[in-house]
Order: sequence, then C-alpha cells, then structure tokens
Amino acid sequence: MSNATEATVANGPNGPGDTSALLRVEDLSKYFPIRRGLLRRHHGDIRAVDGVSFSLDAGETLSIVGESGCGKTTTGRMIVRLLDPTGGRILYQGEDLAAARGSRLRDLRAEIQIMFQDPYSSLSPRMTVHDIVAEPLRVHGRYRAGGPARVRELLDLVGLSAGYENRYAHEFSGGQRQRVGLARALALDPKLLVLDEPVSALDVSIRAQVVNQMRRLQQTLGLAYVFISHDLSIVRHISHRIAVMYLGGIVEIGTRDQIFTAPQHPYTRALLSAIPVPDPELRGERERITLTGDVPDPADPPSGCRFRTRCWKAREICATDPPALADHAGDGHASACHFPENDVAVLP
Amino acid sequence: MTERSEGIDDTAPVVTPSDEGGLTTEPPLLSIENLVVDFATDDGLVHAVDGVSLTVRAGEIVAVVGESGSGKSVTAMSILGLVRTPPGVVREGRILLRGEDLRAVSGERLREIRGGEVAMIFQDPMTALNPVVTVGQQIAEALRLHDGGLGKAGARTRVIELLGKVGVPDAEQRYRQYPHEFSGGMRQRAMIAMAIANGPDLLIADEPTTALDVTIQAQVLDLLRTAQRETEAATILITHDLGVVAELADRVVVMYGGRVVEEAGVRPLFASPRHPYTAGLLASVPRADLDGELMSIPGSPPNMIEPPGGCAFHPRCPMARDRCRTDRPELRDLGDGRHSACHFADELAEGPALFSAEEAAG
Repeated sequence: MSNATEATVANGPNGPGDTSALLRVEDLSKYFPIRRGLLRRHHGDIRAVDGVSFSLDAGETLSIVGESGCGKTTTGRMIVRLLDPTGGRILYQGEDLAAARGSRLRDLRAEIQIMFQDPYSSLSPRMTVHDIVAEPLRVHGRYRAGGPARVRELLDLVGLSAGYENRYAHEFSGGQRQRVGLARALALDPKLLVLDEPVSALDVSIRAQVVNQMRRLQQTLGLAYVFISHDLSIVRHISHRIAVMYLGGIVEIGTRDQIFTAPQHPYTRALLSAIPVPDPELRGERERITLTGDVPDPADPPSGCRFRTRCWKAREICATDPPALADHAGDGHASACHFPENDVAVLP
Repeated sequence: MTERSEGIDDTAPVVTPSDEGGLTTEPPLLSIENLVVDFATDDGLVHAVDGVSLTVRAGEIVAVVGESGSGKSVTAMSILGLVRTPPGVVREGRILLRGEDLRAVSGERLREIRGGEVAMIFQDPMTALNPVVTVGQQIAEALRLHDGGLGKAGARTRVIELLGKVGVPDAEQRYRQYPHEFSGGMRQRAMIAMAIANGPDLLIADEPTTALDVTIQAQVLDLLRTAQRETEAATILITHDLGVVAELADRVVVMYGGRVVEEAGVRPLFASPRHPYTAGLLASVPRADLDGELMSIPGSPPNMIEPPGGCAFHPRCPMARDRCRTDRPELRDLGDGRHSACHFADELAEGPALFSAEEAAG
C-alpha cells in the first residue's frame, strides 16, 4: 500500500511542492489491534485506514465516500485528533498536527472542528442551547468578551431564532439539533470542519434545508469541509472533490465531475450505478452493476488489490500486486486499478 | 371486541371497497379502512395514525412514503396487530384481508396469518431474528409452524433451497450458523427467505434497505423484485427513500401527519404530484441536472400531539390559504386512479413551480 501513497503524493493535484493546501494527509494509517485469549495476546490488526493521502484547499469541500468499514469515519476522527494515527502525517497549513503541544494544540483544535451524524446523542440533554453553543467559547476563554452576543450571532448564522437559546436539545427536531451542532462547531471560527454523515439521520425535506445552510456558510465564511458520507446524491451536490474509499484505502480521487462522469475504478462505477434513481421512467433503463458478495474482513484483507474479490475485471495480477493510486492523465484524477476504465460513463 | 367483530364480519362482503383505480373489479387483497392509532407518551397523546384508508390488490407493490412521524410504520404494524399496547392503542378502523377483519379474528387465527398469508420484512433483521437460534432452525420453524406435515429433514431441505434462492452462498453451511455470523446484507436475505417461506399473499417490508450500504441495498432491491415476481405476493413497501419507490413500486401512497395526503400510480405521481407535500418531497431530492441550492420544504414536520388545525401541512405549504387553516381536506378522487387531500389539487395539475430556491432559503 505504501507505493500507492507515494504515487498520489508525487502525482496528485497538490503534490509535495504545493504549499497552498489547508490540510494535507500523508500516508495516514490506523490499525486497531485484535486481542484474543486470556492473556489478551496481540492477534493481528484491523487495518481501518491503511495508507491514505489527500489534500484540501481552504474553502473547498472534499467528500470521502464509501461503505461501512471503509475507514472514512476513522480518517475524519484522526483529522480532529480524536484518534491518534498508527502511521503517517496530518499537516494543517504545513504544520504536523501530531507534533503540536500545549497552547498551540488548543489553537489548532479551535480551527479544526467536527460535527457528528446523530443529532440525538451528540448534544447534552442537560444543557440549554445557549450553553451547548457557548461551551467551546468558555473552554477556550473566549466567552467573557461578548460571549452571549456571539452565541446569538451563531444561532442566527445557522438559521435558528435567538428565542431558542434557553431551551433544551430534546425540545427540537432532528434538523434543528443539527443546526445547534453546526452553531457549536462554528463557535471558535474554525477554518476546517469535518462533517461526519451530518444529514444522514434527517428526513428528506429537512436534509435539503441543512445542506443548503452548509453551502451558504461555506461561501460566507470561507470554510473547508471534509464531508464524510455514504449518500452519493448529497455528495454530488455539495462536493468540489471526492475521494472514494474501500477497505481502508482510497481507490479513486478526483473532482466531482471526474468522479461522476468518468469514474475509472470498477468500485466507483458499481457504487454510482447502485444509487436508486428517483425517476420511475428510468426504471430498468440503466445499466446497473450489482456487486456480488460482501466487503471482506478488514482484519484479513485480500492480497493485492483489496477490491479484487468482488471485481468482475480481476485477473492474476490483481491478486499479487496492489495497484498504486495513479494519476494517468495528469489531470488530478487518480485511481488505484490495474485496468482502469477510460471512457465517459453515462450516468443519470 | 369479538362481539363487535361478528357484526363486522357479516357486513364485510357487502361493503367491499370500490375498486380504486378503475383497472379491475376484483376486490382488493387488503383494505384498511379509517384506521386510527394513538400513542400515550409523557407529553400527551400522539395521534400517530388519524383515519388512514388504503387498499392493496393482489400482486401489486404499493409504496407507503413519508417522513419520520408520518404514521407509515404504525400503519404497517397495525396490519398484523404488532402495535404494542400500551403505549399504542388502535382506536378505530378495520383491516380486511380478503374480507376477514384482522382486528377481530382470534389470536390463534392471527398467528396463523402472521408468517403464513402475511409476512413481514423489518429494517433491522437483528430485531426479527432470534440471536440464540441458528438461522436455519428459525426458518425451518417458520415452515413447520404453517405446515404440520413437514418433517425435520423435509424442512431442512426446504430451508437450504430457500437460502439458495435468496442468494445466501454455501447454504448448507450457513444453515448451522447464528444470525451474528451473518453480515447485514446476508441477514436481510435470511429474513426475506423466512418471509417468503410459506408463500405469502402479502409481504410487508418496513424500510427493508435503509440500514444497508448502497451496493448491498442494490442487491437486496433486486432480490425483493425477484422474490415478489416469483411468489406473486402483493407488497407493501414502507420507505422514505424516493429512489427505492421509483425503482420498485407500482402505486404510491404518500403520508403526512398521520394521514394519506396523496395516492397515485408511481409514474403519474413522480411526473405531476397533486399534493404540495409530495411536490416538495420530490423537489428536495438532489438532482444531477440542477446545481446550486437544493429545493426544500420550509419548517418542520407537525407535532402530532397538537397537530395543526385544518390541513396538517398548511404551516409549511406555499399554497396555503384561509380555508386550509380551518377545513381539513379529505382524500378525494381525482379520476385516473389518483387521489389527493388538498383543497387546491386541481391547481397543481397545471404544474406551477411550488418550491423555489428562494423559499428554501427561508
């Protein structure tokens, strides 16, 4: 997998010479040890994330898509240092996050915020909306100077009326709770927001409201988003660039249009073709690639290409050589496949 | 309960509901008439289902669509008497399966129907499968419950055949495994195998693919389609996913605030919705050909403890007028098998752009 990452770093849109990136992730990995038996002996590792590299510019949205267990959430949590990486580096404005200590770490933590999927468990039921949004300000010593006004400003920013301030989270609907979560995440003027399935738990009509709000905030505040999702129709709507993950590694990365109109990796094609299209007129008209089988056990991934056990194009080389994530045309669109597709796929 | 039921049974054949779409004169397989279900909560009585009527004809796939709290799942659970009491109370209504009122039948008869003529597929297979019994035994049990003459060996053969049919590989070996040894997609397959085991006439699938990853979801949708084709079972598909509806349903029933607000064939419904809520729901779906702001319905779903007066959708409706605040619109027949519970359904036929991006911003 390590040669795969080198290829990205060397050929990717923001190679090592590129200093403009807000966030650079280099060869990031996270192994969770499996312990068995009475002595809790180390029995192996679940390679949740295994050699992931990408970069993100200020004001940009990079979506990480993939199915359960692909490592997208683990990647997001490492970016905000909720998890320590097993290997690799996370550079924020060129500075290694792992090396930051003391007050510098505090400052970095303010600039990189995370918002979680579940609006029901991520907000404390014992705190009022005001306290929830004010908490990060208090922790960072920024509440005394104009805190209450700042809280009202934040609520206004996410489209909540200031009258909600003294109410508790349980009094709100899912969509309103996600707005409270968003206001809290924005309290410290972050530059980068990791959004982990932020609208997946919301109803369709509410989802659209929250997604619109996020887009507007990005434009007015110049925020960069790492948008983690399995919902490809929302991803298509909100992303500038997209990384597709499978079993701990990025299999394809490119701009939204590159991924959606000319996907190169068979897995990306299967993933896109599996989205149910909300148009009964197109029923049965579309070519659908139905993958057989399930995602393999991440504790015992297949040799060579990790996707080969479900890939209809797999040949001998796929079982022996892990394909490197390579930018074939030099246009920033990279995929990790020995036999990438190079036509334009017509997807609705 | 039993006494009242007898009276109802007598009248049942007489009031066989008129056919809904003008397509057939055959009486429906299932007809729900004026179902009312309340739930007691700490905050008050939740009117989860408030006078729902719907019919399902043999062999058709009817999608019941709505957001959380619309009453779609409660309606489905009521069919087989699965609403937990308390806190739930089915207050009114009849549920007629081929004219037999399921609310009035004996417990024994209901158990016979469950898993026999009517089978359910749940969102989370772990809630439906017993974790301490092997998958094979559970399906075998379901078979033998409805076919007393089936021996152990015969049941086993049937189960392995069924598991193979729903695409569980190594069925012989899988027969002996426990649910936790199955992946999410495999469990869903096993549950579908159990549901179709006794050749049901009606399948009720409650969000059958919601918990699954997108590639697995595609597999299970394919399977549901083939299972439906093979068993010719009518299917009630409860979902919030309009993509799934478009792929699978013949007819769609849209619910909002515990009531049916629109009903139509799948194509006409998507092409020209006749209820503003349906229009908003369809507009909220991100589309490849539209960039920029997503359309959205302003506001939040109604509080079902104190639902808004008049039309429950009026606080969020761009078309709402005085009448909508006071008169509750009934579901009315618009012809061509279409029904809408909007006072101004006819205006929607002209297809005005109801939900613009500007409104979405509000």
